[in-house]
Parts: sequence; structure tokens; C-alpha cells
Amino acid sequence: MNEIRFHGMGGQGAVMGALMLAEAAFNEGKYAQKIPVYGGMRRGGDVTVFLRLDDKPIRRTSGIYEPDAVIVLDPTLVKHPPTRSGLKKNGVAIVNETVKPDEIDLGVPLSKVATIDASAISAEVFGVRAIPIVNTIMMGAIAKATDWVKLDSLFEPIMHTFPGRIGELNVEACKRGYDAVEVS
Amino acid sequence: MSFTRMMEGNEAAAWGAKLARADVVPAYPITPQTELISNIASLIADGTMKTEYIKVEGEHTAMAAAVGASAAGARVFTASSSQGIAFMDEPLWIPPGRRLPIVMCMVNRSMAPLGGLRPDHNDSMHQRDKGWILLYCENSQEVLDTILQAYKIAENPEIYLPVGVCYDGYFVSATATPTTVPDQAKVDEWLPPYKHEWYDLMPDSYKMPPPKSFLKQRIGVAEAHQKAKKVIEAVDVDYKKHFGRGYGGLIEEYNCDGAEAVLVTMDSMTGTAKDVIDEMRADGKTIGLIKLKCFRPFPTEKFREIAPKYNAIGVVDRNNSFGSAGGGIVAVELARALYDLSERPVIANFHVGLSGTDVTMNQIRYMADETLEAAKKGKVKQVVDWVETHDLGEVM
Repeated sequence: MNEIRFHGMGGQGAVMGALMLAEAAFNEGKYAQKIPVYGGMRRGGDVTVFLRLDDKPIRRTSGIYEPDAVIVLDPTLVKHPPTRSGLKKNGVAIVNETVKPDEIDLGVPLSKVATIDASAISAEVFGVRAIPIVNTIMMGAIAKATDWVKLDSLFEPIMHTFPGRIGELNVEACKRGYDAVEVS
Repeated sequence: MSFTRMMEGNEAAAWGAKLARADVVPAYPITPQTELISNIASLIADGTMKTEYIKVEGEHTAMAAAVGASAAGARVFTASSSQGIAFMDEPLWIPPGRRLPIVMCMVNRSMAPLGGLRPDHNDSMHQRDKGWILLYCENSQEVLDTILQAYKIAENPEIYLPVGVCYDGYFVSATATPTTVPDQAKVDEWLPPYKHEWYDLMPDSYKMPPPKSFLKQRIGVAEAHQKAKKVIEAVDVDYKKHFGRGYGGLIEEYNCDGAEAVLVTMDSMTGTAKDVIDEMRADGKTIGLIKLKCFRPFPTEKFREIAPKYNAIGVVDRNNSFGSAGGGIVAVELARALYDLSERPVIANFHVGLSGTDVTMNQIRYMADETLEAAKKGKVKQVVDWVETHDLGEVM
């Protein structure tokens, strides 16, 4: 079982991003599970999402305390203690950051670090926002940096979630994420 | 056609109401139930679901409208959570005595004060004395399947009782897992349209349901609960025959062969407990699991039949009954169920998952180990153990 933890802020799309990734994995024949954790609906508050991928049905509904991977949707969350909490040695981190992968320190040696300036891409594709929407960009980065899902598998969940023009913009964002990510 | 896709518990519940062809849905939104009724509204808006959706000004009216619609011969679905269910309290007493087969999702969320948006079971469990059948579900698929089973149980003329289909907020309601939506035609064949034998609102033949005396009505509800135990089991077997999925009816015994002790769990924590039990079995620990699917009617006979096999039962209560005879609601019920057996296991009792948190793997391991120790010693350390007060790691 691959246990992945998303850290984001309300409004960045962590919950929908994890769901679309789960749908893509499911469409590829894997089992998937998404559990969101957040309080009252508010922009800017912490959002944590647990994503599990496996080749057999997933039963447990507990949180992920020792993730195999963390996905960090905002640069300010790299130093946020819950982001690094329990992250497995030789795990994976995919981070929305302007710096190079080898400059990322999450407190343990990692087997793979990927960075991408998703906020800048978001500003170009969706316009400048106080809280940039980065989920589909990060999904593209994930497809390049890992073998969890193929890039092409992400397009159907995106178009199903956002039919029409918004979906097309998000597919473009996803491809930009795939092309721009730097992997250590 | 049947299809399978990733689905949150609330969306699965909306599909359950759609497949059951609920005629009327009076509802008022409240976290974590909101996505359930917004999904129903979407299914109505896009023409998938043909239902009279009544927007009401609060939960009290939602249940009052449900009572009226059900007595007028409609199949009725509604849903609420936490304070919303509490606000419905007065009309919630009506459907059992009037024998109205309403199905209501109770999306579990803790109660005020300081209750967050996340679950414990007190909001649904405080319906236990009213006459509602209460069924608890572990994941999205079970929610959908249980709603269909619930109508079949509720509308059985031997039963005619309302059913609460309960599931944890967030850990089921907002958790997406692969879920199969069965074919509508197949559901239609299995669940024919609702026709109540007692209610007929045609003016020339209007009859009120018997009996008219308070005592006879109360005895009638009590007898229906007794009969419901067999019906719930039979409906589950029949559902499995038609749709390929069953949940054990009243309880599910998991990995119990040769166990000296068992944990009793409910709702979403059960999936986590199954993973832990498998690991502990692999380590040679003789622990099993009983999932309490049906809390009302309480499966007394079933527990009396299986309890003598075990030296200890660890009851996991995600609820509080302050000042009770001893511990949580399920533990007290189980103790009464087993009281006059000549040989009975000791009952360990745990409170967990109360502060809006998940029930973790370490907490399940801890409760399983404590129950095994109680089995060896033949006694428990304390009446009830508040598991979240121990530092078992797993913090974020």
C-alpha cells in the first residue's frame, strides 16, 4: 500500500486534487481511497488529505501518520511541523517551491524530491489569486515524478470534475506541471 | 446499467435514495450531511431522480414533512447530523408509533458543546429508545446497499418501522472509495413500490392505523423490533443473493475462529480494526472482531449464542452515556444481554474517537491487547478506559 499525505491551504484544491488522482488510479485498475481532514469551510485554513493506493481493496479509515510520500501544495507549509511529521526515511516529497529539489529539507533523507513553482504556473493559467489554485498542476508533477498514475489518466477525471472550458484550462495546467517539475 | 467508480459516502447515500425511488425528500443541510442532500438536489436537477424535494426551514419541519408524506403513501428519505437530529427530536418520536417506514441517514457528528464537525455516535444513539431501527455502515458501498436493505426491512408489513442508516462524518461521508451502483431495473425488481397496508388517504376509505390505545401501540413497536431481527438477517441474505454483497445482517464476525477474545466495533473504525486483527493474528495473538451492524434492535440472542466462546469481549464505544451503570452505551446493552448466562466473558470497555479524531491502528492494537489481558486474568482493570488519554504515538 502506498500512503500519501497532502498538505495544503483551503482553496488550493487539495481535496479535489487527491480525489482526481484517486479516480485516475482507479481507472488504471488500482484500488484507491481519499480521506479529507479539515474543519469549518474556510479559505486559507490547513487542509490535510490522505490518499491510499493499493492493488487490493483498502479497508482502514485511520489517518496516515507515517506517510510514504507528502505532497506540499504551498511553500509556506514546508516548515509546518505536521508536514514532516512521521515522513518515512527514503520517502518521497513533491513540493510547490521555487528552489531546487536538493534544497528541500523535511528532516529525513528522501529517495526522491521534486519541486515545481506551481504558484507561478497557476498565476499564468488561472490568473493571480491570493490563494493560488495548484491542484491540477501538482497532479501533473506527480505523474512525471512517480509511477503512481500516467499523465493521460488524469485528463478524464479533470474533465469529469470540471466540464467545458474550466476543465480544458485544468488539463493545460496539468500538462504544464508535468513539463515543469524538477526531480532529484 | 451498473457502474463502479470512486464515490464519497454522501454521494453513495444519494444514489441509494435514487435507486430506492424515494418519492419525497424533505431535508435541511448540516455538516457533514450537506453533500448528501446537495447530491440529491443535483440528481433531481439533471433529471436522473424523479423526487419531490421539499426545502424546509429546519430539521424539525423536515421530519414533520416526512411523517406527513409517508402517511400519505409516499416513500420518504431524509438525512441529518448532530444538532440537526437533536432539533428533530420531537417529531422523531412519531414514525415508530405510527409505523411509518421512513429511511433517514444519520451522518454521525459529535454533539455540542465543543463538539467539532467530526464524528462520534451519540447523535444517532440517542434515538435508541424511540423505536427506530439503527444500522451502522463501514464505507460508501455499505451505505448504498444498506439504504436499499433499509426500505425492504422498513416496509415489511410485519415490521413497519423507520430505519436510521448511520455512518461516520468525514471517515465515511467524505471518504471516497470504489463503489458499485447497481442497475436500476434490478433494484426495481427487488424493491417494489411502497404500498402501506394501513394507510389509505382516499376520502371514502380513509382509515387510521390500528391499534388506537397507547399501550397496544407500544407493545406493537416492541414486538416489531423482536421480529425485525429475523427480517434484517433474511433481507441481507436475499440482498447478497441478488447483488453479491452482504454484511452479516445483525453482526459480522471477522477472523473469530479460535479467538479467546474479540473486539466489538461499529462504523468506519471497523475497516481499520480488520487490518489490525489480521496483523495480530499473524503474530499469533488470538483476537477476533465482531462488527455491530445493527444496534437497534440489539442482537441479544446472537450475542448470547456466540459469547460463551470467548473469555473476554472488548467493547469499543464511540459514544458517552454519562452516569450510566458502567461505561458506554453498547457495553451496558451487552452486559444486560449476557447477564443471565451461566458462563459469560468479561467485558472490557473503551471510549475512543471522541474528540473528532480518527480511530488509529495503535489504538486498536492497544484495545485488543488490553482485551486479551482481561481474557487471561478474568477481570478488567477499570470499568471504562478513555483510550485517547494515553499517548500511543500517531500524532501529526
